[in-house]
Amino acid sequence: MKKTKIERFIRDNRENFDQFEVPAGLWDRIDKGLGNLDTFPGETSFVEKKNIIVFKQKYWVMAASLALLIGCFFVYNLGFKSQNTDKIIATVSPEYGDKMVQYASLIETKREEIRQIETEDPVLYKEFAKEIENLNKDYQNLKAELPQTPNQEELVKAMIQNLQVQLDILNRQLSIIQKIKDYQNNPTRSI
Amino acid sequence: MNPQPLALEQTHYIDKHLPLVEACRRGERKAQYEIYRLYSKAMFNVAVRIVNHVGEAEDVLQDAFLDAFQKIHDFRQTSTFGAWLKQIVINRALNHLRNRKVQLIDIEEAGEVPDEAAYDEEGIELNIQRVQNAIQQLPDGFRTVLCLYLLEGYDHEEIAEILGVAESTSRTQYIRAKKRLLEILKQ
Repeated sequence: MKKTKIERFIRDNRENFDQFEVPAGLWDRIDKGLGNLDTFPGETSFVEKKNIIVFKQKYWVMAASLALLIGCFFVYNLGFKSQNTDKIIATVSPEYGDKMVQYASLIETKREEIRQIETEDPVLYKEFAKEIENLNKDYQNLKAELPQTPNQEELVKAMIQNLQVQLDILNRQLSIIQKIKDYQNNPTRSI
Repeated sequence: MNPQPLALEQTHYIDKHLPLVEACRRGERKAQYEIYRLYSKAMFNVAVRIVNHVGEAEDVLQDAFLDAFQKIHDFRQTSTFGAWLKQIVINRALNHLRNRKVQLIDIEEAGEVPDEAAYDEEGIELNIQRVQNAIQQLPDGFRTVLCLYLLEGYDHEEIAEILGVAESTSRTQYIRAKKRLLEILKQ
């Protein structure tokens, strides 16, 4: 369709059509709006805030010591437990034990590699990490069950399978990252 | 394999404000102000053209910027930041019109499509102010489609998606709007 006179005129003078100036004070309103998003609704006075801070600080000390105590307890317990599960796996089959160590170290390296995109693309990284975290949770659940379960061999197999799936997903994530990088380096080429 | 120069230029353009956008993602107020400073005038004019009222456009722009800063994590770099922001402003402005119960597409005249060749543009005096005033006199539905097409640079496929109508509707609506604009200019 051939452009008519008026269409050409508007196209050629496009910048001149932005004649309106933004009203002064609009940023202040946006700034205020953003501020409300950042903090809790309901203003507290400075004195009140100060009191709250002192009050909070006391609580923080208490909370921190409590957390430390609980932490120590868990580290002790977990260390004991994981030693325990390692032993069980070794008794079920030393071959499985070796495989698991190998997978675990591969997973660690690959996760480290993916962590490099955290600054470039935090959203994508979060998504990727969440996927693995979910599987890892399952893995930890299996591991916790191991000492009590009647069929330990089945459970160890399930654990290995879980690690394999983790590895598989990590490989796919890495290839996606590579594709994105390729694309960014050379956007004309289709993926 | 070799990227064409044009494509390189384009990626450069896309990346131009990316560090600012990243800083906005971290919620840095200074970066948010910088983005506001860079884009507010163009965006304000987009809003004024659609809602046809300076005061209302100010409200639209305020909501649009707040919206954009809140949703900035959704910006996927599949378009430029400016194009993404503009889409938010337009959606906000259109919602504003819809709240005024404005009919964005004229159903009454749906039957008649003016002949494109029937225009007589001779003797029409064109200057920015006259055209701007004439656009402001258009009914809301006409003005929206005409501005999206002629000034915001969307094609009919995109306009159809923005307005939620068929592409052919956008086309005929545009032809009618242009005809009306010329009639106003002839007066």
